[in-house]
Order: sequence, then structure tokens, then C-alpha cells
Amino acid sequence: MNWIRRLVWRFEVLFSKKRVDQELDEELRYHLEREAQANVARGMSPEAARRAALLDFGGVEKTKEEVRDTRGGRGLDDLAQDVRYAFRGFKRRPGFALMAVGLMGLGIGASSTIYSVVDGVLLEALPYPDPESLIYVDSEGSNTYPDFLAWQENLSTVQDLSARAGADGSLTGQEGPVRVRISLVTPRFLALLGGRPLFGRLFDEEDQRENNPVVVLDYGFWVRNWGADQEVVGEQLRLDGEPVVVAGVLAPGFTPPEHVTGPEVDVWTLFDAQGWSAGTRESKTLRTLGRLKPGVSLGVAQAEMDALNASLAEDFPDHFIREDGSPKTFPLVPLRDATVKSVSSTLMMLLGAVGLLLLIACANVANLFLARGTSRADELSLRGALGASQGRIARQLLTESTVLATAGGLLGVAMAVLGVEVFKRFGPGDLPRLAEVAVNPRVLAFSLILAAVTGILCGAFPIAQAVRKDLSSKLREVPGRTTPGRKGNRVRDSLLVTELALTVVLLTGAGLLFRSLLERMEVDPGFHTAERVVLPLEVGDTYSVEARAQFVTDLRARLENVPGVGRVAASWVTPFMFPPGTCCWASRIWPADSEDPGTGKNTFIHPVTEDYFATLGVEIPFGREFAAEDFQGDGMVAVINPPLARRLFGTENVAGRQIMVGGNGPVTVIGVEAGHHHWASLESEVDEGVYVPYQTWGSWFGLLHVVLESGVPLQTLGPGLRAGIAELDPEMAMGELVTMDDFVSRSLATPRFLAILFGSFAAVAFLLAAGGVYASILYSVGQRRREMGIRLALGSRPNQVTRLVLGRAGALGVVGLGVGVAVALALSRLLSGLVWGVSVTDAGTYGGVCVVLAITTLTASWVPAFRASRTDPVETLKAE
Amino acid sequence: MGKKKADLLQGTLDLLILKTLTLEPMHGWGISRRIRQLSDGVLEVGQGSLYPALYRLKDRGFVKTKWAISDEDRRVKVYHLTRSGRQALKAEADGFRLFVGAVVQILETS
Repeated sequence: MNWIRRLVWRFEVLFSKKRVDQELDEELRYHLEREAQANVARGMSPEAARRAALLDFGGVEKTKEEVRDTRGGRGLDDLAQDVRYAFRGFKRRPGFALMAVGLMGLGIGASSTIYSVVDGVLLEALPYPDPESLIYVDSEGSNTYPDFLAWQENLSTVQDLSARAGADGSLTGQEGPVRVRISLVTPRFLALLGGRPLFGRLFDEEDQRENNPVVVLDYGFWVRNWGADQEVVGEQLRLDGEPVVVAGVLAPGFTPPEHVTGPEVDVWTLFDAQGWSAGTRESKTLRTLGRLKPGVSLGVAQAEMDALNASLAEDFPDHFIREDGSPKTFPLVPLRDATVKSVSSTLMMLLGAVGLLLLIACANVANLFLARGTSRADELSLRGALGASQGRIARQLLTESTVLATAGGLLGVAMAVLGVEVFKRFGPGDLPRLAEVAVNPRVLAFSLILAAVTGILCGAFPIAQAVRKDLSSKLREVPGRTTPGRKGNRVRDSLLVTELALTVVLLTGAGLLFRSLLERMEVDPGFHTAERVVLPLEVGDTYSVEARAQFVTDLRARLENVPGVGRVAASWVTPFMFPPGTCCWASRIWPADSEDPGTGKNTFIHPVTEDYFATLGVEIPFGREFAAEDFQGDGMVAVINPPLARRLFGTENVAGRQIMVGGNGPVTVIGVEAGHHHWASLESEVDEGVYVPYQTWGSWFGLLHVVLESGVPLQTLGPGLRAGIAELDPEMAMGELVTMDDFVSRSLATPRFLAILFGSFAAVAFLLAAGGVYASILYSVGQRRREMGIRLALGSRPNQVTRLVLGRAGALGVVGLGVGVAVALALSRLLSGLVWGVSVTDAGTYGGVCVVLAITTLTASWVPAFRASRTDPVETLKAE
Repeated sequence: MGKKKADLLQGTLDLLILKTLTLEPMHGWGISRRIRQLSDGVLEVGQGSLYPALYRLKDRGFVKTKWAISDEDRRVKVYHLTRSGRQALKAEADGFRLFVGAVVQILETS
């Protein structure tokens, strides 16, 4: 109870100060009167008694002051006073306050934005039950269903092992077909991740045993397409033409595991455990995840996994043993690491970069504070002389910087809220978990801590300055009249050097990222990207192999007649659809006249239609492109690319030679194409590839991308294409049309985004540094005005004065650039994963940055230097 | 006032005030008079130090205050000892006795 009483008392002192003071007054008056009465009783005259009592009392005011000190709450009282005082000061000089708040807000806002992203992507737990025990089986892409079954049956340390394959397809309800993203999963998949049905049910084991054609709809997809109509449960729909029944709708808020399924899934259905793909180790389509059993460590589970795979390797050596004879491992990775590993170093680097920006902003603010501190040195010394303790003055200064930092922090939070939205809108689409990024309480705490640290750091410099000097020397020192000591300048100089050095680091980083973006853009993809449009389709399992081949032939003929369309070709996968090595069919290739190498590098096989190379605009330097007759008969012809030709035959001119493709062949090489980029990466070497006739090699699989030669805007082109497709198959939904230019551009989205983001940090840093140099030199010139005046009066030429100022700025600049280059070189290794085509120590970039900054430093100091040289000595000396 | 007066040792004033209040709640002047009486006029509590001490004790929660009406019908602030004040008194008194004992022991060693 005691503390409650004390708290109440503190509040009384703080908020009813007037009443508390009055009561004290009353008490003291009573005391005095009684004392006087007592004295009178002892025989004094009333006047003498009163005087004695007063004397005895030792000064009422002094007592009152002492009571105020001892009654508690003094600290808060002072604080309130300091805050009021700080605001008065800011009102007098709003420029200073606005500048400081703006700079801190900028630094804190930028840092908090990036921190929000780091927090949402890297720190926030995955939105699943017991997320730490979820593991992902890293099979360098995908694994097969037989592997999955072997693991599922034999692993005793992992439970609910589940897998997923993906496809796009057409879902047809009462209205026309809708293109959907499908995840084909094993029965426990959704339950493992805590998915719950909003209506209906999820999958169960029986569905798989009975091969029930059921689907579960994503909540968002259901709302978009069924207007949240509950009746959908039990409704019969057709998925790629096959009848399916809606078993349920997922409850809102379920986030698919992005690393396994991609960021969005419209329709969930069961993986066909009886299908062709499920029965072979040739078809790698699954991504697998599961949950560690309680108490099992990752290491134990991994050991069991390795032992299991070693025993599988005895039966399936090709599959579990690598080319070099080592066992192929399937590392178990925490699902979160698997999801964000690719971006964590990049994000941390961005956080570091924005941290540098914050430091530069802080250095600027500290400089502002210092300048202000010097100009109010006389005020502070006066307060000191009047009895304020150094602690009290320090507290006053700290309060001022804290008030500014709090305002800066609030501004920063506002900027972060905005920044996060901008980041989400313009950020790279491939950043995992971007949708989860938000300014959450952790981010708020981060911003406030930043604000507090900034406030203390910025306040520390003027405090050190104010406390260091003794009062008398300060009172003697009139600003502008004496040249300030070297000590004060040294702090300011080192701030300036720091600022320049950090700017060098950011500018070189941005420079390197921009150069490597340009280098990437310089790379020739090897085909015409302009006026080429890609149309994704899914030719579902209602088609037999023959029917599908016929459909593709008819489709090409039909679409060539659509107005505005030139050539038409198709393939499973067109260039720039997938990152390297991710789809779909790879096998060993060897010259027909040599032995099967047994194990060896797998080469990707791309089934394509007639005119494929002509439509894409890829040259065929040796031999010829596919012709109509290649699609009749056995189709044992292929076009290969230069890397494969070189590996197999040591030369590129290999038209007419024969190869084996997997177990098939001999296949005659009719041509060698010029070597275009197939994967969505301009930076990797052109990968080996073999192109074979679609109708013979590819029509067993429903994936299809049509590439059209057309310069017509997509919205004009779309209806014509849709009508054409509908004539052939009214239930086939058209995927989103994308121009090839867009595909290539998308592959550069991340480097471009990084370059722009880093570039804007660097640009802001550059402006801050330039402003910092200017302000700092201007200020120091102001401090030395009298000295300059005397120099000029004694016969210095204006040139000499200019040179004096510029010399000092130049010296600082050289140190700043030197330190900056050293730091940047030391940190350059961190950029090595992002910089491509230039060395991270590229001399041109570093040199360019130094030249630009040197010129900027000199220009920014020249203005104040010039003004100093024009000082009128008479006026300066008179201005006393 | 020919009597010799002793200066209060640092820290003993709080102790004296708390002790005084164990008898009955009192107002400020009453406390100062009681200390003078109990010490036969040896200890004179400078009132300039009495009130700061009272407010300090209040801030620490050792005393609480109530308004009351004095004998001559005046509104006066009366100080009461709280439970934690009583505990503090016991602890401080023990400490003080120990201290005084030690000092006396040293002084009487010849």
C-alpha cells in the first residue's frame, strides 16, 4: 500500500503544485506564530519574539526551496520545465529544429522501412502452428513420388511428411473457364500447415485411396469468383475438362508455404498417386515438407534421412549417387530458412546500407547541434555562472535533443508506414513473404529505440562541448571574436570526415550495382524480344497424347489467322519463364557412336513445334530449323545448342551427327542454333539444351506456352486469341499474355530494384554530405571572421584567404575519401553476390566516386571560402 | 537559553522525528517542541531543517498527513507514522544504537 500512497503524493506534487505549495505556506506560517507565542510566553516583546522566530527560521524562502528539493518529484518537475524551455528555444529558431527533425525523420524513416521488411521477411515466425519444427526437404529443385513414399514410410523422426506438385489449369463452373494456379498435394498437406475449412472439409486419406476427384478452394479465389457463395461446397466443376467436386473452402488467412507452392494457390487438389508421374523416378515434380517429431533434433532426423537414402542408393544408384560418385544428399532445412535464405544476405546488406544513411543523417544533426551549441555558449556559461550545475545544463541539452529526436522518430514512423507501402508496390516480386511486411509493434519499438539513440548521440556532442570548458574561459570567449580552439573543431572535423567516408561507401555500392545492372542489360538474350508475345495454356489430361498433338497443330493454324499475329510456335516452356534448371525434363545425352556414359550430366530437353526458332528470331548457323516433315514419322531429329555440341563433339558444326537422348535414338542433329538464353537469367552461361519435335516428344504432357509474333497491344490481341482457342476447346482458359520484353525485364527486376534503392540511399547520402560540408565550412568561416578580417587588414590577398579555407576543406576531403575507400574496399566482399560483370573492387567506380565527391567538397567549400575572402576588414573589426 | 546545545548528527533528525511520532500524531511545531522537551533543551531542531525532513519522510512513505483542527481552532497539518515508517524507525534505531555504542566504546578506551 505504501507505494500507492507515494505515487499519489508524487502526482499531487506534479499536478497540484500550487495547492501543495500553499499548504506548505500555511504550515510554516502556523509554525512561526506558535514560535512567536512561545517566545512571548517566555517574556519577550511581541516584536522581538517574532524577529527571533524569523531568525530562528533561517529564512522562509530558503526552507521552501529545500522542501521542494526533498519532497520528491523534483526530477519530473525539472523535466517539464526543460521541455517547455526546449520548445521556447525551437520556436525562436525554427529552422534549426525543422532541419534536425527532418534529418532524423529521414534517417529513422528509411531505416525503419528496411527494418520492417527485414522483420516481416526474416524475423517474423512463419504463420503456421509450431513453425520451428517444420522442415523442407532440399532436393535441389524437386523430388519424385517414389522417393517421397520411401521417406514417408520409413522416417521415424519426421511426421506428416507431405508433398506438392504444381500446375496451371482451367477451372470451369457455370461461367466460362478461369485460369487457375493449382497445387496438387498429398492428403495431410493442408492439415500439416494448420489449414482449416471455412465451409465443407479438407482432404483425407480416403480421398486418396478412392481417387476422389475433389478440390478445395482458396478463400480469396472463392470470394473473387463465387462472390463468397457458400453453395459452392458440393458443386460440380471441371478442372482441365475433368469433373471435380468442391469439398470445401479454406478459412481466410491461410498463407501457402511460398517456397513450396509459390505465393498464391487458387485451387488445391490431390496429387494423383496412381498416375504416370507417381510411378516413376524420371518425373521430378514434388516439393516435400514435414514436421520434426517432438524432441527430435534436425541432426538426428538428417542422420536417419542419410542412412535411408544410402540404402535406397543400392537399388537406384543413378538416382542417389552423383556423377562424381558421392552420395546425393537431401538436406532437411527448417522451412523458414528455405523460404528466406536466398534473400537474407541481401536484406541484411540493405539494412546495413540504410544504417550508414542514418549515421550520415546523425552526423549532420550532430553538426547542427554543435554549431548551435557554440553559438549559445554564452547563454550556457551565464546559466552556469548563475548556479546551474553542469549536470543540470547537460540534462537541459539532453532534453532538447530528446525532444527533437522524439519528433524525428514520429516523423520516421510516418515515413516508414509510407515507405513500406512503396516498397511493397515497387519492390521485387520475387521477395518471399512480402505480403506479410507491415509496420508492427516490433518495428515501432525499433524506430523509438533509434530515435532515443539518435537523440542521445546528437545531444552528446554539445554536452561534451559545454561541460568540457570551464566557465570563466567561456565567458571570456565571445563568439566570432576569438578563433575557436582546435578542440572544438576537431569534433566537427571528424564528423565531416565520417560523413564523407560513409558517403563514399554508399556511392561505391550504388555505383557497382548500377554498373552490374547495365552489364546485365548489355547481354544479348539471343532472340528477338520485341514484338513477341507468350500465351500460357494447359492442355489437360482429358486429351490423349495424340489428341494433344493434334490440338497443338490446329492451334497454331488457327492462331496464325488472328489479325495482327505473324508466326506462331509452341513449346512446353518458352525462354525466360523459369530460373535456371527448374523445369521440366532432363536426361543424359551422348554421341550415338559412343558408349552410354552410365552417369553423367543431365541436359534439359525442350519439345518445340515447327517454326520455333524462326518465331523467336533465333539464328541457325549450322544446318536448319525443324520443317513440317520432321513432325511426321518417328521424329528422331533434334536441334542442339553450341554448349552441348562442344561437349559432345568438341565443335559447333555438327549438323548431321547422331546422338542418344536418354535411352532414345539414334537422333539426327539437323541443326545447331546460335545459343539463345533459355532460362530467366541473363547472367548465367547459356545452358546445354536439346530441342526435339513437340508432337513426338512432348505431347504426353499438358504444359504449353505459345509464342506469337505480334506487335499489337495485348488488350487488342487478347479477345482474338481467346475466340480462337474457344473454337478449339471452349473449356480451356487462357493464361495471362506477357510480352517477351516484359519477361526479360522481369528477370532483371531484383538487380534493378536493388540498384535503384541503393542508388536513392546514395543520392540522399550525397546530398546530406554536400550540405554537411557546406554548412560546416560556412560555420567555421563564420567563427574565424575576425581572424580573416585581420589577415586581410594586414595585407593578405583575398586569394590567400580563399586558399586557406579551401586548403582545410581539401585536407578533410582527402582524409574522408581515403577512409571511405578503405572501408568500402573492406566491405566490398558483401556485395560479391549481387554484383555481376564488374569486379567489386572496380577501379573505375571507386575513382569516379572519389572524383565526384572531391569536386563536390571543393565546390561546397568554395562558396563560403569566397565569401570569407570578400570580408570587409573594417566592418568586421567595427562589429564589436 | 544558557544551556549548551548539541548539533544534530547527520541523519539523526529523521530518526528523532519518527520516534516522536510513535507517541501520537503531531503537527510540525509540536514535533519540534517535543524534541526540545525530550532532550531537555539540548537538541534544538532548526525548523529550516524540520520541514524539508518531514517532506522527505512523506515522499518515502514513512509518514502520512491529515488535516486536523488544533486546540485553538486552527486548521493544522498533522503527521502520522505509517507502518513502513515504524519499520524504518526500528531498523534505523538499531543501526544508530550500534553506531553510538561503537563510538562510545572508542571514546572510553584510554
